[in-house]
Order: sequence, then structure tokens, then C-alpha cells
Amino acid sequence: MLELLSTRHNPMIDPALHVWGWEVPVYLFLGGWVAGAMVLSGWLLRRGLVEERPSVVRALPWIGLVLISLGMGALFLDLEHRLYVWRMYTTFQPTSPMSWGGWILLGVYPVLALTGVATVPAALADAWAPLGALARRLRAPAARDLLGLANIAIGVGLGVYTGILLSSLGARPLWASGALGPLFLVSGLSTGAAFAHLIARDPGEQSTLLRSDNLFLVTELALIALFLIGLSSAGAAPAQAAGLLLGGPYTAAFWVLVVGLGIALPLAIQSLMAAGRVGHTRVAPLLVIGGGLALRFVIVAAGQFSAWP
Amino acid sequence: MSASKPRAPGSAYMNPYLAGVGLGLVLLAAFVVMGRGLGASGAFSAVIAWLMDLVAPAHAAANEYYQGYLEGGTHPLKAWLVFEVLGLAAGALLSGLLAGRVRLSVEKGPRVGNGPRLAAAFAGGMLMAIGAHLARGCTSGQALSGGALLNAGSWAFMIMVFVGGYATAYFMRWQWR
Repeated sequence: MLELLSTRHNPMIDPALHVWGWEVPVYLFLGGWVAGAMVLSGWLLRRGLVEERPSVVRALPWIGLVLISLGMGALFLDLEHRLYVWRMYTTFQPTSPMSWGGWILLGVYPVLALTGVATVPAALADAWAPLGALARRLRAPAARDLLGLANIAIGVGLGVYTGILLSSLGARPLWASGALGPLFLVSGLSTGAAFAHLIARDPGEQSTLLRSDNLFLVTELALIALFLIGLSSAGAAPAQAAGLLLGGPYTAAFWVLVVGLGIALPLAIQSLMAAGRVGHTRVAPLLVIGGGLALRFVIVAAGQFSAWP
Repeated sequence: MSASKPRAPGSAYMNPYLAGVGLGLVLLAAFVVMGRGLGASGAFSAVIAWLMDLVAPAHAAANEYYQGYLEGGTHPLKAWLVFEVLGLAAGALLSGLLAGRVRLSVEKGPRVGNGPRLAAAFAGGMLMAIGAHLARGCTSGQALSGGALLNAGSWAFMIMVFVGGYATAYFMRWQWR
């Protein structure tokens, strides 16, 4: 008797290892960037620095709206059944990071829009009375503090969620790490601070932002170390997954693009800038932003490559 | 890009003899750590092969030269020379920042316009790329790495680079006057 195994001819019957292309890392990167920008905006709002730091605090909310929309557009392209996306919003599943993420993303829009209105320039507020009235109400100390807190809370939630989304997928040992949430949050904070540094016009503002970015970059290095140590000491499969970045096929991309060009080099340049040893340059924040994108691409690609034996 | 504190002319460049010794040590370190010498033109070839595969995969698959970079299953940009050239740019940036020299400019003599200078640089770059492919290596791959290994061909290449340089310098000096 001749037996034929015909099921293998059907697509997606065999386990597909690489199902995520460019869309998911781009979404995670833009989501983290907006998260960082929101935390920064919230901090500036609560410190009452709207008037002192106008170029950053006025631009961040509107740019954040564009970036989160681009990120959600990338995520939408990744969906298999795009027309069913509304069903995410007919339920809330507290144990599902994806459900949390869906609702957090929905909260990002009103908070960013209200922050944009609260920091609207006086000329624009005077031109249209209802806008001016709303801006004045939002600038009242209590409302401003509340708006700042909302920015920080939603920003931290969004930043952590982009990492937890991966770490909750237990089938991939590289992502089975509690450090991934904080790592993606801090990477988002550093991207947000670098971008704010890039658009800041005032030298004092630039100095504050580059010092805070240096702090985020050092923290990110520590979290990367914890991430790799944790995986290496967590059993055979996670150790093998960490090996993908420690001698395996993703080593060069991770250490050169993420750690070298994305963290160590800009940290060195920004430390020299903070010490007054080199002049101001926008190359360093651009490298930080590139490093944030590379981190998402490498972790998403290497994670899909890793498997339990 | 801007540098707020340009230093006095003459102090911004490293002593060339010290830089030469440093480059030799970098080459030695590359052999010890990576098991490979230094190079530059190969990185550009890998980028071209990758771009060609993106734009016209059928053409790239039919071309033996591009296949040299594309076959084997690994990404063409995942090559030692590509990462080395990234490091080169990073090191140059850091060095330029420390010397206060980072700014957008066209390196040229004071009496030459940007257009002629860029056109001459482009033509020179094209000739250099053709030469590097004919010689199977550029000044870094052949002269530095091959020369360090005492390859006779690499030394012949290096001598001819100097011969060519001195022979054409007279005709090219208008760019620097």
C-alpha cells in the first residue's frame, strides 16, 4: 500500500517560526518612543515647565499622536483579520497583555490631545475662544497635575506593555524574561529623551535632556546585562536562546547596532558633551533613536528564532 | 551637525606617524580578534549586492558576481567588512567631535567650487572602485592587510598606488589650490 502524507501541502500546517516581519518591531519601537515622550511630557507638566521648556513640551504631544498612529498602522498591517479589530474593544481581559495594550492605546489619544491643547501657544489660543477657554482650564494647577499624572501612567503602561507582550509568549525562550518589560520601557524613555533633545532649541533644555538620556542609557545597559544573565542561568533552553546574542547568529547585529552604535557610542559622546569636552551635536540622539529601532528588530527576530527543545 | 568650539588650525589632526602605528595595531587586533584583515571596498560591494537583490532579484540571481555575496543563506550585510566600516564611521565621528571638526562641508581648496570638486571626487571614486575590483582589493584590503601578510601582489599593488598617485597629482592639484 502506498501511503501519501498530504497535509504537508497545506500552507501554515508546519509550525511557522518567523511569522512577524517588519510591522511588529516598528510598532514596538514607535509605541516605546511615544511612551517615553509621554512620561517626559508628564514630568515637564507636573514640574510646571511648560513656559520654560516651550519647544519640547508643545511639540511632543502632537508628534506623539502622529507616531502612535503610524505604529498602530504598522500593527494593523500585521493583522490576519483586519476587519475584526473592533472586537478587541468589546471586552477587557485582565490576564491578557494584548487586551491591556489595546485599551492603553485607546487611552493614549485623548491624553496626548488634551496635553497638546493645554500647551497650545497663546496666539493660537487667542485666535479661537473655545480653544483658549479649554487651554486655560487644563492649565489650572490641579488639572495640569492630573494631566501630567495621566501622561506618566499611560506612558509607563504603554512602555512596559510593549515588552510584556513579548515576554508573555512563553513559546519563545528568548522572550521568557521579566527584564524585557523594564528594558523596553527604559529604551522608550531614552528614545523619547533623545528625540526631545533633537527638537529642543534652548541650550539649557538640551543639557537637561542629554543628562537624563545618559541616565536612561546607563540603566538600559544594566537591564541588558540582567536580561542576558537571567536567561543564561535559567535552564538549557533560555541559555541556548541567550546564546543567539552571545556568539550565535544575532551577535553581531545586537552588539554592534544595539549596544555599540545605539547605546555605548552616544553615551560616550553625550557624556563628553555634558562635560563640555565636545561641542553640541545632533548625531548622538540620532544614534540613540536608531539603536532603539535596532533593539526591537533584533529581539523580535532572534526571539522567533529561539525555540524550546 | 555642528561644532561649537572649533580649535585652532593645525591642532585638530593627529600626528600622522602616531596614527600609522595606531592603524597597524588596529590591523593586528583585527587579525587576532576576528581572524580577518581590514578592508573597505568589500563592504560597499555587499551593500550593492543586497540592494540589487532587493530591486531586481532575478538579475542578481543570474549574476555570478552578486551571487558571491548572496549565496550561502546568510544576509549579505551580515559580513565582517560591513560592521568594520560602521565602526570606522563611529570612530571617525568620535575623533572628529573630540577635535571640534564635525561640520557639514566639502573638503577642497579655497578657489574651487563645490560642483567641480564633487564631480572630480565622484569620478575618482568610480576609478577607485573599478581599480579595486580589478586588483581584488583596495588600499586597505590589499596594501594594509595583504601587505602585513607580506603578499608579493599586495606590495606590487601598494607601490603602483604610489606611482599612480604621484603621476596624476600634478593634474589634480587645481582642486586644492
